[in-house]
Amino acid sequence: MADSTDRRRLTLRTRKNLYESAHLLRRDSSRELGIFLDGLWAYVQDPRVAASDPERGIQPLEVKWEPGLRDGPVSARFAVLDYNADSGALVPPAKWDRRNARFTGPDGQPLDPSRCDTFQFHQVNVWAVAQSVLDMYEAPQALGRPIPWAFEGNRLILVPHAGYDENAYYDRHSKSLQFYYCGSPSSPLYTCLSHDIIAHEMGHAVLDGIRPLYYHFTSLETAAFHEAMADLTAIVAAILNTPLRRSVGAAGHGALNNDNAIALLAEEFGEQVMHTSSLRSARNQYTMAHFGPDATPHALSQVLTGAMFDILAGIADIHRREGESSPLQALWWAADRFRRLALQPLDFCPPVDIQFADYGRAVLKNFLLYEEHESSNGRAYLDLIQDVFHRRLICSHKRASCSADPRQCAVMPGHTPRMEIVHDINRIARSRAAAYYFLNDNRPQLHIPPEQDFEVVDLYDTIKYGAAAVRLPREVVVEYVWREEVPLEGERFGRLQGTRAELLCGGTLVLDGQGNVLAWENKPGAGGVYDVQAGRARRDALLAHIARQARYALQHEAPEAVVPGPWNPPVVANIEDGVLRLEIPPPLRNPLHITGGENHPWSDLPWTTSF
Amino acid sequence: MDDQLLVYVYNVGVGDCIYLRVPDRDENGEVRQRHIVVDCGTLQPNEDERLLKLAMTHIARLLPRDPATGRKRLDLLVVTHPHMDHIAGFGLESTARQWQRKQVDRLWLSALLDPDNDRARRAREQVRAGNLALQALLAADLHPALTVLARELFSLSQGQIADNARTLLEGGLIPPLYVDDATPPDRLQLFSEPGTAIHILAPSRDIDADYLGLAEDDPAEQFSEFNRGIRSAAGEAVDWSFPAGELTISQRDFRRLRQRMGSRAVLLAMAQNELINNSSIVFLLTWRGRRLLFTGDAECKFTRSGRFEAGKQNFSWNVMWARHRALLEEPLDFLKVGHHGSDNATPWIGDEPENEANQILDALAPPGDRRLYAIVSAARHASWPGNIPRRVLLETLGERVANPRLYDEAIHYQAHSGGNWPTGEAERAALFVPGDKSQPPRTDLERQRGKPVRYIRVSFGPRE
Repeated sequence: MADSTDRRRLTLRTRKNLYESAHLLRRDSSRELGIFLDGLWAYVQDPRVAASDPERGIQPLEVKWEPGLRDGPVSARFAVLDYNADSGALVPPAKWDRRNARFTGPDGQPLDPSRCDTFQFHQVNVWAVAQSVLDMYEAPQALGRPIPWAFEGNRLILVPHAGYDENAYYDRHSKSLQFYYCGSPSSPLYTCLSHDIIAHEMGHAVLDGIRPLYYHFTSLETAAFHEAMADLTAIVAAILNTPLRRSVGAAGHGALNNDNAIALLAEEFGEQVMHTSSLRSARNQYTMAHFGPDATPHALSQVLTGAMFDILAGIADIHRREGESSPLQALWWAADRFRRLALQPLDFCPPVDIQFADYGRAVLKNFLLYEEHESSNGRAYLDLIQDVFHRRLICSHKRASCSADPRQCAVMPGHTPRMEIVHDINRIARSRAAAYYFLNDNRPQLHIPPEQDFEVVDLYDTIKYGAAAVRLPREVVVEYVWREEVPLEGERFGRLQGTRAELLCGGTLVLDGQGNVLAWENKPGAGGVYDVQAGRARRDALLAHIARQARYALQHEAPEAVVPGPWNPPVVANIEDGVLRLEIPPPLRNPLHITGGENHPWSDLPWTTSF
Repeated sequence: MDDQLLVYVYNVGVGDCIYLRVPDRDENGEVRQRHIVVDCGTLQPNEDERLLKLAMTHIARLLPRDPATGRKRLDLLVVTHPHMDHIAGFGLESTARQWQRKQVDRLWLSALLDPDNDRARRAREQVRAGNLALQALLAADLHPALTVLARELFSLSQGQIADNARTLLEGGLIPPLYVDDATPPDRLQLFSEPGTAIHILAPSRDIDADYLGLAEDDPAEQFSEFNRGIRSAAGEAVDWSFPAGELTISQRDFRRLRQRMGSRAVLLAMAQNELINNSSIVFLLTWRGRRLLFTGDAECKFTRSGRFEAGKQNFSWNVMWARHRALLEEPLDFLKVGHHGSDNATPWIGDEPENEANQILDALAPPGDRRLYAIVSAARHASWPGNIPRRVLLETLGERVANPRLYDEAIHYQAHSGGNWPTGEAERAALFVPGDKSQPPRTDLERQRGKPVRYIRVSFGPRE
């Protein structure tokens, strides 16, 4: 195995050649060949945990070398800008030592754990964790393709010391993740050092990239889904982290159904700011019945986060009961399976207005396609997943209690349509225009109303792995959308009366390498001839949602005019050409206790990280 | 008229300029008139300088001439707090010259401004931090909406006029007396007549502790200390026009990023604005059974039931009620409605009957009592149409005052004042007090023979 001395001898040409081939290599080979950067360190969890448990302290992190790395760090997908908006200061960036392929401080010295108090270490920390989360999503064990961002451009700006606040957030309009700090100078809390917080914000950015229309605040559940996926990102990133997983596994003998570091999110923040053991725990018993229409997205998200954690813990139990490997090995297998089970279904989700049940169906669909028959415990996993969703009331019954047999519960995947007109899959996958022709030829099968012009909003090919790194069938994913205008008439819409809302409709169609339909998830409209009842129900739900927000929504001409601040209500109404779009701007919690603005049910949130 | 107490509230746009003439009988029965001016400012000095000049001219006519110096003399000048709407007259060249020609026997300023006041050290630091934050904000290329907000906040307490005003007040007239609610009465002695007195209710002696809370809990304190540390880690002095150091992103991306992050400075500026308001001098004038309250822009807290909490951040009204309840518990004869009729400076909140704020207003102006004379010195502005003054507050006061008015406010503003006023009926109704609802007299709407008045005058005889 090459040591660090050998790696430093790699010429630039060799590095570039390895970089070109990196996607073909397994991780251990990549490590041996020196593809990963040298001397890259990051907190496993956060400084408080590091101080109390050295096994979960600062660890080496594996991020691949890229040809364009620069001071910052700046890489292909990220740019760290250490700008403090409170003081107007720019902190000098970490330096890229091209010769030794590592980042250093301004003095040229490596940023090892002894220098964890320097801001340059913080810069590299946040960059490395963000990069590793993106790698996690792009890996074949997850989505198996490069992930775009939702904004114009390809570099997400990371601001590690944005200013004084108990907050961190993703902001599409400024293409940034902003991490704030709080506490006191003698006991500071830097959110840029919390692995969970960085992973959570990255979860928002990634989901926004693959499903940008979820940014429209079309329902409480859509906003809550964003929060749940952000928390799930932190959980998956944590369970895949070897030192952390080993520590948790050893303490629980491979079991996860306890208050462990995987379940507890952002421990340092929770302890220091909220005086609790963590910001949130994924271990909870919430069901959909616990929350009404005025719940916050964060609160409601706990139902789905809790459900998915139950599934993770259940998978770990099943693996342990198999008894064929050690508890720690069983936990690794569980983590590996859970990553696929939780993240791969995102490609099956509709392009708009996602509800928890949609994701539940996607999880089951993905499982039935790729996981059920590759393990002797396939039936047990299926029962587990269905039981969990059923128990949490994640199904089309929503908040009413669901008494149906969970195996018959509506969260089961729906039928896959059979296309009338067949197109060559390679032609479909070539371009959105080609995909449009295919969809247009099959309107009746896809329940696209004849009078509606629709748009192919995304088209991609994936290379995914299943268990034991077995390559899964090719997936060609086509997302299409159309919009129906719905007038807002009546006093209940307040000052929004007279405008028109958009009912976002469409679907996600997943085809295999032969052009067969693997999965289909659609969101019907209210004005067509297909799924009329369901479409009208969606329309009525949208109107009810807008009416609830109408009291608080502040009208602005453009998203850029909404400057984060406590004077903004939590919901913004963007009206263009008389058409309304609701959006949740990044909340800036008010650390200086300035009062003002109309009351909103969400105005007393203890902490919000949001997009 | 010589034995009447006169109050003139001048029409100066959004601002305060008040003249009081208080008959003061000595032990020989001789009556001397005491002449007091409270504030001289306007929020938009460039637009409303003329109004201030008219006010000053009128005040000069009312003041006696000192036989020894030949100058127009006043017994007391109270400048409640250093915001433009209360100090512009001391900074505009035309009116500052008039002040310099006057003989001011006493000048009272808020103890916040006393450089030797150890109990306001953190508050002064927060004021300074807010000024710096605003300078940074205006130097940056921000979204127009934020720039407008920043300019408005900046104009409240910064700029040449404000600087000139502070220079004049803190050394150009006479040495000021910095007052708070613990200033010894003998230093406040103005009147000979027993029972006639000025009682200082605010600012609190403990400005830092009462308005900012304990230092270790004060996020602004931590913020300031923290950011001092950040700046020293970052390097030397910061170039506010463009940050020193290399950018790792494009200028276009940086400009957009700063736009979205620039609100942090606005938060600091808003905190500073609130602190200065809360450090306003609030005084109760008692005279022959009458009680007159002058409130500056003192603010009221409504959260957590509106109660004062020791060691926490509090607002001026809540501190006054906790510390000087005995002086506030009886009905007033006169109220200068705080902060130009905005809803954060009069203790009242409609939908929380148990809120302490409502109890305060009920004590000062009991429903049905109708002895109170109140005046609102205000003008609506298109930038903040709904908040200053606040319709529902004025309607509530209108039901309690002895001098209610019915105005066609919507017609007035639509027809006379231009600006970007809403045209929808529902929106107009939300802003303007309807013509069939009473409100206290307002300097912006009161008219005489069809023309805007220069002042609203109230006179009081002794209470029987």
